[in-house]
Amino acid sequence: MDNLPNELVYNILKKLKQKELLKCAMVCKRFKDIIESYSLINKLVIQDEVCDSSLPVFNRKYTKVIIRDNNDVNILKALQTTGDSILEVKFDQHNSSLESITKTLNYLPNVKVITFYYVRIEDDEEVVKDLVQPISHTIDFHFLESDPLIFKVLTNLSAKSIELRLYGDSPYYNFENFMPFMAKQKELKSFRLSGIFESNLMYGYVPKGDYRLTEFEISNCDLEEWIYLETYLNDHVDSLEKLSFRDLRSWDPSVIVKACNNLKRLEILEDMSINDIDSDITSVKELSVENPSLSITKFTNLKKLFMQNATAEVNRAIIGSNIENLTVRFGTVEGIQCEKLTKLRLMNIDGPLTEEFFRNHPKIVDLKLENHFLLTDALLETIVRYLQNLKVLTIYGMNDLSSRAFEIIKTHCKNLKVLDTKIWSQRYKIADWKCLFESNNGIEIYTETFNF
Amino acid sequence: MQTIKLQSSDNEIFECDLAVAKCSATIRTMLEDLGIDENSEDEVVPLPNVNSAILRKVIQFCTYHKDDPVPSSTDDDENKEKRTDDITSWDADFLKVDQGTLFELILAANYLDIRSLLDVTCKTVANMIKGKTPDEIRKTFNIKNDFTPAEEEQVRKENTWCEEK
Repeated sequence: MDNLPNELVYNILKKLKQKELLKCAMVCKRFKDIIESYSLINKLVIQDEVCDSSLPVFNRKYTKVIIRDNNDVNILKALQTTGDSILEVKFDQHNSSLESITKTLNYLPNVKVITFYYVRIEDDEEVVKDLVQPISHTIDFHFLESDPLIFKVLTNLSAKSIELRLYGDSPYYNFENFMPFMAKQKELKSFRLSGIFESNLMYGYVPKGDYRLTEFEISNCDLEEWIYLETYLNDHVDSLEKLSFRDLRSWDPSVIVKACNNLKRLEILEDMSINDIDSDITSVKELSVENPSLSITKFTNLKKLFMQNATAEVNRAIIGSNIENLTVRFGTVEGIQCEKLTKLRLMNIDGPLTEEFFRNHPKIVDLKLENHFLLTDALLETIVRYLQNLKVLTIYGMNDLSSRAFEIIKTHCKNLKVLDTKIWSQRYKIADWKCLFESNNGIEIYTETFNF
Repeated sequence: MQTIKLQSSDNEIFECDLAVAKCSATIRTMLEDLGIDENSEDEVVPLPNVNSAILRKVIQFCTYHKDDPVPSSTDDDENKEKRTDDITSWDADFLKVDQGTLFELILAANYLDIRSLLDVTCKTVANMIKGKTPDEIRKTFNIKNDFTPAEEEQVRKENTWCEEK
């Protein structure tokens, strides 16, 4: 180790997580100095245990801080010295107060990511004297199962992205402080909602705001009235490029999808469907759908498609499309014929895979088969004989291959670079793997089951 | 197949595929800058910082990996950067060497600018550090504890501000 210059010791240490680096800092002065000069230990954690009365002397430069304590004296003491360098703050699982959050953020003038994670507000003062001071750059907000009262003190901050996520039986239903915060936004690009039930969020008109929203995601929510969400999204149809809708059982997003004219990526998943599409949608390149209906033929420029529960009828309807990247989960591959296909992933599909299917798709370079019980040696041989361009072969989960599979791959996969396998049945001998390994034809093998 | 001659610090000459030698960004630059004619039979590229034992290993590594796709990712992705459990079986076997050789391979990978070799050798050393106490780390790498008790106390104290429990 003595012969290695500092730069190379840094190259080694940077592979380690903070927990390991804390021990390395204790090893010798050289390690300590390298860790400090390259700022490898960059996360400050403020918690009850550090109730030391003496002012800490920090030699390290911290860019992240996790706050697990409402002890203002401690927080302020630590942030006085190091607050300017902090780029990310996480308020983590504790009871706090609006005053304490305000004071903390006022010590972090350069923060770019603010996360509230299970933060409960104890004070409910009507008047907040010291709102968080304005910060000139935009911020990513993550707001997870925390009291929406917090938005009351954040109105001076400009958001780049907002994630609002509540879990399970959230005690929080009152988002009235969130709306004024949203109304003031100017740079917001991405808005994500999840797990919101029986709340007053989006119950009422949401001001359009003076920003261009490009990404909107909503999952597992039950809004009181969907009309307010529709109105909000309708205000942004010119800028939206990515939409994701999951698990919203009582709502059909067709009307919004039809109105968007710059949409590139669309996801409609988890018990949702999109049925009411009557004209061609040419902008969307990537589509993920569950229980696809014939309306997917209206997406005329797809490059990438994910289908859950595909049917032969739908598969036949997209014959001749330009799809290059296809994933089918459950359902059948019967009827699929996409000549430009280069990447195919099949997950838990029903029914057999035919010789014809692979003969029709000779351009595939990347094939992933997950939990295909009917995958036998004979089928594997058929697959690899037709797919001469195959570079990456991934086989996960249950299958019906024998140890002859390795011989087949070795013999036929002339262009294969990566063989990736996980959770195979363990009856193969290491020797079987070695037949591939020792053939030394440059295949990278990834596996969980064996250690060579 | 086009070949090239490489000369180690102890003057041993290795003839290897040009494609293999070009895994090294340093050799690539040398060939371009010095205008060494790739077709010339007699040209020898001197590598004064690499001995023959290490150069042999490096050539073995590059021969195996010469067709690998060039990774497009950069240093930015912290999670990927901190993964040390993704060493392939061939590489793990290749790096079953003594510590001295491992460090010499790191130096050679750095000098020859072979990113994949530098990455996997550094990961291997990182794995030797993982899960050990400071004292065990010192023993493993024969490092002397040169802290005064006061300095050690200062590090320990600052560490308490960094522990995620």
